[in-house]
Amino acid sequence: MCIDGDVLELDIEIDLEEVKALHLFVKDRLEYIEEISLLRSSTGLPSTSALFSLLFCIKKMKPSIKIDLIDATSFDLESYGKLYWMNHE
Amino acid sequence: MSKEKLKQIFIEEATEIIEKMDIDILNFEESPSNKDLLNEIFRGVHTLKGSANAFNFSRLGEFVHHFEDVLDFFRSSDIVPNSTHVDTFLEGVTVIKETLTYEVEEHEGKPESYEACLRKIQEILLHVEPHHEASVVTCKDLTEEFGDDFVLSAPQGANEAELRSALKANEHLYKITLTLDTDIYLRGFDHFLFFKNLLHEGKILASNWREPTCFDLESFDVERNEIQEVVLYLASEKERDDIVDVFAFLEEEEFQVVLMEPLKTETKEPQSIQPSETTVELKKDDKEEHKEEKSKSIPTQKSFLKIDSQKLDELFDSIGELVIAQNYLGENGKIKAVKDAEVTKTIENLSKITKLIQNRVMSLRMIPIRDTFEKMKRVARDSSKKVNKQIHLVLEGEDTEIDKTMVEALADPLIHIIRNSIDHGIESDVQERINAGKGEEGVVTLSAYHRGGNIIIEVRDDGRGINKQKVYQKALERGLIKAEDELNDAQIYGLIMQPGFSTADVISDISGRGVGLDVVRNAIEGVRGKIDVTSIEGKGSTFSIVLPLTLAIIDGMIVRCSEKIYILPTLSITESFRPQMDCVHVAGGKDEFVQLRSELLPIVRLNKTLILDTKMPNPWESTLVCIENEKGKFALLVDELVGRQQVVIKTLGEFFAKTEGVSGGAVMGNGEVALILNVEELY
Repeated sequence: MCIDGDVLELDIEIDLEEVKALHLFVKDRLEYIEEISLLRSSTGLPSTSALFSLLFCIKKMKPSIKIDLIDATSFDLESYGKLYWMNHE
Repeated sequence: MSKEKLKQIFIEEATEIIEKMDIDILNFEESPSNKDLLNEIFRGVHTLKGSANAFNFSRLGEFVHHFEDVLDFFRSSDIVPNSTHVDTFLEGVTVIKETLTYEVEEHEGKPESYEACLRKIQEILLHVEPHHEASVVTCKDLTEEFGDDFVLSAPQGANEAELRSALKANEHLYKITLTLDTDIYLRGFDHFLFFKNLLHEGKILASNWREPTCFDLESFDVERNEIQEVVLYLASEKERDDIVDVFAFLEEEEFQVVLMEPLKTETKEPQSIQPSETTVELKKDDKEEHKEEKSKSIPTQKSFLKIDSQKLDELFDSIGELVIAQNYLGENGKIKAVKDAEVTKTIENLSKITKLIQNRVMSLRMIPIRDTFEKMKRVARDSSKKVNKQIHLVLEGEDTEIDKTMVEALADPLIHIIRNSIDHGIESDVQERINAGKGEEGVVTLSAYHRGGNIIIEVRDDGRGINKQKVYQKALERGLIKAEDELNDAQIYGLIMQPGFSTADVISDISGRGVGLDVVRNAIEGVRGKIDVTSIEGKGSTFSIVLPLTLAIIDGMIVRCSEKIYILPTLSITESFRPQMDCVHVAGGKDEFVQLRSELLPIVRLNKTLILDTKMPNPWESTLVCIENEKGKFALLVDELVGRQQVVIKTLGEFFAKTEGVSGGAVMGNGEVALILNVEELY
């Protein structure tokens, strides 16, 4: 996890403990963060779905924030196939 | 359910599976055309794989994954595994056992034989099926074949029709719905853990994720799952049950696996299929199909319930108390004095019901000895290979039931006795056997049966028998006996159970180190059993283990001494008698002996041993109970025999636990407490 100006860069493979740390980090700094960018190696896969929940929560709190992973309706995870976000409506 | 508890369940189940695999592989070796057995072994490995991956036991997961590949190949081809393959399978089971230990105990690295065995397993496929690698590549090439765009982007998730049309001829499309509870992370699971595990079963094509509903970052709890539903599409050649196994540790309502119907291209256009309708219809079909399959394959399925053995012990204790209370009621003078037919009948009924409950609860702990016997096949196979002798292991009476605690205590002694029989009992030279009129193959028979309220387990071999003279000489050299000692055959054979005793000329890899048979004897005595050895030179030897039916209840002889009652285990009593005056002899003015037929037995006065009083009743006016312990026979002098009774054993607590001559207590029918005597410490 690293913050470059107002862009927070995250590794998609972070685990539950790291998501907890991320939550604590973002909670107090949300107003300064404009973008969350997910970094991913060629074989990198998400470790925990808790990361998605947190990112959606952040998006709900600050709709203007840019989060590439959830802004698109789908996301190709290669060996995990294509991932689609389904809203409740 | 906590992750730890799930892990515990997994360990128990995995251990059972591994033990069964050992047995199944050996049985398969005997009937290599039996595909059902091979399927059974495959199922075991497959279940292990799913569970290992669920717990992130990657080393175990990797190993069983390759093992599964090999088994899968053999079960779906006409090639029959040869003896070398079976050796590798058995070695594989050993590695699985060791790797499981590594995983559970969180050791670094891998077991020593892990890599070598894995290579052997991989090599089997390369040799028996040169095209195997090619087929794997084909499978992996799915992306190339369909391209990255075969999953159409749609605002409301993956298009099921498109996914189905993209399947290969032998593939099924599974729709898996995960509705995991909010506590999944705390239980050690994660959506992506199942994604990872599903990669072993097929290719994940797409997934629809219902957006999480959380609006407040402040109250957001990372450890609480907010994703209510994930629908995943998997292309796989496997059967539905294989896919369901991946979710074995989830609650039923947390997942649903639906086999999607293939496209009927002639009649329907892909876009005309309504995904929701299709799913509902297919779910129904699928359920019916599986219902039918189940009813075909398992016509009569017994239902089993796993119970914590501690709870059974508690139930056992309570039944013990009930029996005591019942006996007290039956013996109570005041109640006996009530001359009312109704009361008498009710007490009789109560007695019958209590006895019935007691028997039924007892039977809960009783399990057939079959599994323990089956495990010995592997022991015999390994031992015979090590010492290069042809051995045929015969099993008899496998359905004999035995207390579960005793089964556990019995395994190691049996292993040692069987190894001992193969190593020392069976002749090394085949010609020696032929000259003695025996078959080339050494026969070791393992049998179990009931005799007089006890269970007898025998290990019999048709080998060279025990050289009595050699045993005697060795015992003399080691100072275990004196030259003037007169020993009968049983006592001489019993010497081989002494610590440090070994007559093996060459110490082999599996036995002959002089440790073991004494440990065997201790282990058997630990469960209140005893071991006898008989042998005929040139014909073979028999090790007979005599065990009580259960550990919680003892068949006891009630004796009276100095106005108190005591219980002697009937297992150790050979007979009781009142001697003639001229049969009693005194040596040195104090040591008393009694002549019993041709034997001269020392007399042990119970009142003197337990320091009850200083009375010296005449032996010819008392009762002598002939008892056999590890030192030999002696005559215990008591006032009288009261009777024989089954008693529920009660421990005496830590304070009295080490009281010499006493092994426990029991509450008698009249409420009186009687001590159970430890015959090993009386003389």
